[in-house]
Amino acid sequence: MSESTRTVLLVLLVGLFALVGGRFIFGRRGRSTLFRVTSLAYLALGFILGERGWGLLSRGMLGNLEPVVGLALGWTGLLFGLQFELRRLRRYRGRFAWLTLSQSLWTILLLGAAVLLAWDHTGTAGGSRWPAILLLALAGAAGSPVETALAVSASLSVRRKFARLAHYVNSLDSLPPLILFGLTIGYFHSRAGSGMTAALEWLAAALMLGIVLGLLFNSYARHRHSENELTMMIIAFTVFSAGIAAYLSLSSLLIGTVTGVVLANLLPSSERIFRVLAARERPVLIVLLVLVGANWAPIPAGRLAPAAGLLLLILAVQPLAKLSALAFWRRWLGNELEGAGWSAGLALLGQGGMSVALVASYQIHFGAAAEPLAISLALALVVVAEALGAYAARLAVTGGEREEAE
Amino acid sequence: MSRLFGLLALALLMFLLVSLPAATGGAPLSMLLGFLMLAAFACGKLGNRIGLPGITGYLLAGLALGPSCFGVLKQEAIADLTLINSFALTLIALTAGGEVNLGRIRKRLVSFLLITSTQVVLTFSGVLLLMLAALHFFHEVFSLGFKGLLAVSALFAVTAISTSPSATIAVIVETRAKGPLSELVLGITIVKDILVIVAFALTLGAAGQILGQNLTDTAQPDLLARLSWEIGGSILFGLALGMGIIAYMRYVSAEMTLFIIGLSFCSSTASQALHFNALLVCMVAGLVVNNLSRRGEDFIRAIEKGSLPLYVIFFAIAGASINLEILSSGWKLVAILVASRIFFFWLGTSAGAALAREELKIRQNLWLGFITQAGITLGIAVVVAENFGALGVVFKNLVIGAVAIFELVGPVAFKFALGRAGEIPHKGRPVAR
Repeated sequence: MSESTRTVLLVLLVGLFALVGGRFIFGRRGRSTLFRVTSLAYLALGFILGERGWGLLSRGMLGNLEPVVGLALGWTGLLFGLQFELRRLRRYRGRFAWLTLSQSLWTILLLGAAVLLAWDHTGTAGGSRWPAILLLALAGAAGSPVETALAVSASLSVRRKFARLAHYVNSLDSLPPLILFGLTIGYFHSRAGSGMTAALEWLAAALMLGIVLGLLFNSYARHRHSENELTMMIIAFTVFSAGIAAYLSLSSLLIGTVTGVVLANLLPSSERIFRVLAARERPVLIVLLVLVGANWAPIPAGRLAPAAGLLLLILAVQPLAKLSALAFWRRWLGNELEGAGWSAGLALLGQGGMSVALVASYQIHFGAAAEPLAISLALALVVVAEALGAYAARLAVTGGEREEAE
Repeated sequence: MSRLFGLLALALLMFLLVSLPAATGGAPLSMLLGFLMLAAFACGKLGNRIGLPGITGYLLAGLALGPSCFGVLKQEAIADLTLINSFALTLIALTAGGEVNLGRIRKRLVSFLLITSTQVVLTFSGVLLLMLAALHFFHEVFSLGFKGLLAVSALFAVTAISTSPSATIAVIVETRAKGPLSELVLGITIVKDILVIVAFALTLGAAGQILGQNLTDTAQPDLLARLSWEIGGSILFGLALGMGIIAYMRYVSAEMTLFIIGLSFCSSTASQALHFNALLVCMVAGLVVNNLSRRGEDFIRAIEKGSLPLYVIFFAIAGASINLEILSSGWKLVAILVASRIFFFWLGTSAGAALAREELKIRQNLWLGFITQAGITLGIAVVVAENFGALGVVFKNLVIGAVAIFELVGPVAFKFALGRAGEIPHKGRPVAR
């Protein structure tokens, strides 16, 4: 069979899978949507298409698709940053913000400590361990509001105030992981002497760049634009900022986030930009998953057992961190918790786009030094959170007043 | 004014970034692409201010940033963007096919056939004769006998027939034009695309024999088989793709953005592997979807809704590929080629429209819609260069020079024609699309 015939057959096969898979996945609407495995499906698709699979997404092709990865990372960062509109955030109690920050930092600390203690038993050694450990801690701490939203929509009686609090925390608790990831990149920056001072300087450079790009975006977007034009500007700015980030070895997620924060607070029509971003977030995330999957290197068979052990450890520590953080805050947030017992922290176990974006950034920045084990485990965390996160969140948010039928 | 300021600020930022001492190595592709898109978009908007179509602005921005002017975008970067460019092209072609309504064309079938045939015949023969005379006059350019010059002139004449479907659809989508003129231009352009491929293959075979060249595998003897494969295969694959889209719309109808991205990837990869014409494949698929499915229009609109980045990328890269040096070296022959093509397009199209008893506004303005030229003509030039050595390279350079002019002038002329024919809706007036 010639190379071209093989390619065509593979492409047609992918098309057939897409059609049948689409019928299977999307035809299930109306049934329970709490259990989801879409991340796993798209990671697997990427792996199949990638160089270790059928080879359709070859290394050269992935190199040419670099702007697409940049687009996805910038998109995720911008969308996240646009949530930080100070006027809107002031409507919430100040304690919400403290809970968000503290539980995120606490989770990072516990996860980081656990992974650090167990890392040497996985058979991985070498200079790349610190970024790998940090990736697992940061990706494990970055939340996603999707699971809570699913749990709320699938339940008849909901603790509404608590659901609101959980949504707030899950939406914004990726900020510390993002900043720390930016700091990590600065610390291991190749162009300057490493160390905390250099790390802080690079972090400051990323922040400044985000502000400049935010101001520039603001000057472009303040005219009246159609949705098509806004989409065009968002794509162009995210690709551009991701390119600058790659050029200077900075975190494109962090730059995108800062750009989003500037826009949210300066541009009167930032809500429109947020809507455009949110409407296309899913396809962007899926493309990112496929590309991350295409780059994914499986864990060697000999290291599977210690890897599984480490995964189980992380899966045990992550809920422990969330549960203990909310238990600590119970004293100050009793009213918002609405009687949610020990299980309140389960509403914060969701993981999604930001974790995947952190993995993709790690792959880009650390290249050959990226530790496959860390990538595999971080992706496994996302898959598990997607499959079980909504069930866990339902345990926490249900039991309140019955929602009025809409 | 503020747009201009934004553009300048962007250029300043880019300048500062590339001159940073901390940065080593070349600028990443995404940085260049993002900058190109932003600059092109701003130029397009500035162009709109003075009545030019957006794509002229995108082309000019690409030209300014490309190797011919400031050189921000190097030749290697343009080559690296080919993949993204081919994705954009497949989607543009899908939209172009999806804009053709066979029902409405059937109602104007006589006009359609008459205009196409008179335009093709008159342009081909007219350009052939004029180029023959010109090449004879500037005999030092090719140094061939009569038969040889005739063969080269015939190749020039084939390139003159073609019109760019991508530029045509870009202007139609941007202006939201609707009416007989836009339908005729798009329909005839698509049909001519097939005609040009056939005519080129035949002419290339004849020219190869006259010029005594051993054509490479791509242009070799079993021309008919290769031609049938490329055209027939593209049409069949396009039909299958179109049916696949209809099936998806009917049975799944979800995640349209994702589906469109996957479709673009699959169609361009498969076309490349099978040596099909990706443009033709996608145009046929779009045509099938729009004409055989009730939901087809939704699909085409879904692509159109997010089409602006595609046009910006595609035409900015096309602008960056324009080589101005070629224009300066062989400008006399390029000028003759340009002038003769325009003249015979006017003659052929107006004659066809008059024979078909079209309305005055169509007769007067239709020809302006066919001036655009891009992809397929450049493809022809490249094949000739590959097959005819030094002679082919001179031919390619002259054609590229002419395409550069048509790329810039064509969209402006088409927009002007649409405006004069009253097919561009006024701002604020609802558009029935």
